[in-house]
Amino acid sequence: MRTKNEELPHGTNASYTLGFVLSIALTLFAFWVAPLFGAFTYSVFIAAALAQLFVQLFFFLHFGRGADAGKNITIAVFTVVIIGIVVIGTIWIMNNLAHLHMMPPTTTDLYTNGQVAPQNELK
Amino acid sequence: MNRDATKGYYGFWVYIMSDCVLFASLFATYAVLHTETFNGPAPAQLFDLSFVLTETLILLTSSFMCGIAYLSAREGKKQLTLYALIATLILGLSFLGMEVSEFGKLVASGHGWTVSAFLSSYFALVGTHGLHVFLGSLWMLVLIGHIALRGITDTLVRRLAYFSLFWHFLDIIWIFIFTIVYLMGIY
Repeated sequence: MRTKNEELPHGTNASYTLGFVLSIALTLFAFWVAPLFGAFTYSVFIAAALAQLFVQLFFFLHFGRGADAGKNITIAVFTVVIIGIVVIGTIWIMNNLAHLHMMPPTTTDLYTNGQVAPQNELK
Repeated sequence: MNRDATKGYYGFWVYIMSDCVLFASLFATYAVLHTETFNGPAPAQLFDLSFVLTETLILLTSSFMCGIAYLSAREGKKQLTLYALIATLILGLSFLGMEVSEFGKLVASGHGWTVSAFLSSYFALVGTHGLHVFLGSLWMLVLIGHIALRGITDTLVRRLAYFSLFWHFLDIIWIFIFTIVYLMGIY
């Protein structure tokens, strides 16, 4: 049985070079330019990383091209949903748990809740 | 119509996606635990950003070389495939060497994975990526041996297609480690 490698997705020298140049540019942008954005630095970091993700998916992984691309896209979308549940769910629930259980209330917390009167501390 | 190549490609894509879920859980663990330094140094005091930038550029170049190797193999250019693959391997090993030396420095200065939850999650995340790069390097050795002994065959082109998926995927994971662990850790 001969396999038809022609059906596998692939790029060209030009597309690989363009992908490479864009990746390097986005990395250097995140390294040198993004920290200049002040309060928006983190957003710019994330935007640069996501841009790089799409550049590499398109130019290097040839995402969504070639025969059977539909099946690859389906499972990729499923994976994104799973990753969303795992990452967002973990951060959400663990932060809640940290607030509820892992941090013992500070004296300031007790004052503001009225559980400890300030004069008790002075005695 | 013979669908062998695309079936295998789909199967390998499923593996890549499941690996994404593995890394997602490690990223989530790191996101939760990176502030739990147990009174030890925070990321900002431990990491050298220009060292990590060099690692990133090496891995990006390695990824590009891997793409060139796959493209040359498709066109049946044996010498070029071999040279590009050897360049990919050397760059991959340089990356791995830098990572191991960074780990060595951290452990030697008393910041090993047993010290705090932050360092445990850091070594688990970055170490798992490093393990993938190591296994990819072994795979490349096999591919190089295959080309040297049997030349460019249909089987080799197919395997190189799967390998390039794997190698580019590791590059994407590293971009997120670079952004989330290092850039956001330092700024």
